[in-house]
Amino acid sequence: MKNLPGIILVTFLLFGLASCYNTDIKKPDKLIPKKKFEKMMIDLYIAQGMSFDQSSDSIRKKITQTDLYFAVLKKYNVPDTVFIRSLIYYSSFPKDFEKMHEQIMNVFKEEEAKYKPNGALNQEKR
Amino acid sequence: MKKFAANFILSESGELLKNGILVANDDGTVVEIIDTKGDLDEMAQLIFHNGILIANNLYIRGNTIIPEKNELSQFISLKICNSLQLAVPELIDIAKQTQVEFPELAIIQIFKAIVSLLNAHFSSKKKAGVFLLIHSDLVGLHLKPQSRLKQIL
Repeated sequence: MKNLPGIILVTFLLFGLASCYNTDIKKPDKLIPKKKFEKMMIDLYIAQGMSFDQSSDSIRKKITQTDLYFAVLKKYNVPDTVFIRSLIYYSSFPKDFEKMHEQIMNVFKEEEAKYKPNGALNQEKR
Repeated sequence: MKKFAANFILSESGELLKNGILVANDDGTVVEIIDTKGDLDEMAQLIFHNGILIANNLYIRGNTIIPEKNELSQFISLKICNSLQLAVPELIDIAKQTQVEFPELAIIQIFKAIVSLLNAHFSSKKKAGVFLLIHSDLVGLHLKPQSRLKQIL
């Protein structure tokens, strides 16, 4: 239960691969818009990377990955079932889904770049 | 020994047995499920209930859930992929959520899909107790939002 977002993310990637053979997924009535879905995925990845186990705060220690998963759903006001059906639907288009995944990874790369030491600044210091 | 009959009994393979009979020990352990093929004869000390009888089982995760190809199985897989063990009340919750998402499906198709995934990825452990699923549409065979479990033994 602790690694819920991780399990879901891995599972949906596997679904993406499995769905190469699957074309009969109907568009859900309550499909999460692509942009919003991407934002949710970014937050879920962040939640997956969080670890409160080492935290000295006893309240934080009690927070599980499952709590974070449902916190992300709550943030976007999306029920669990709607998220799952959207996930299944989007993963049934492997090429688009791969692009979406690349975009998500790009967001992380951009964020990472912000916190990387600036080369020019380092040279000046020398 | 206690004998219960109901409109339907959920078998271990996920089939719904019409007018089936469930035999249980006094401690609640299910001994036998009898498929009457819909033809229920009078029997001594047989108690009839309106609803679907379900034996109390605990399902313990055995292996990783491999993605399924059809949408229904994918949906259920994602609902159960985070659980290390599942009890009957949790399974009914999943079945109800599945019914909301797939309103065209009958209870039998939903239960079959759930039980098929459970049999593939979980091992079942018999526990004492018998549940009765009430307030379902037993004509159209659909779960309703007000469907709920009642423990009768």
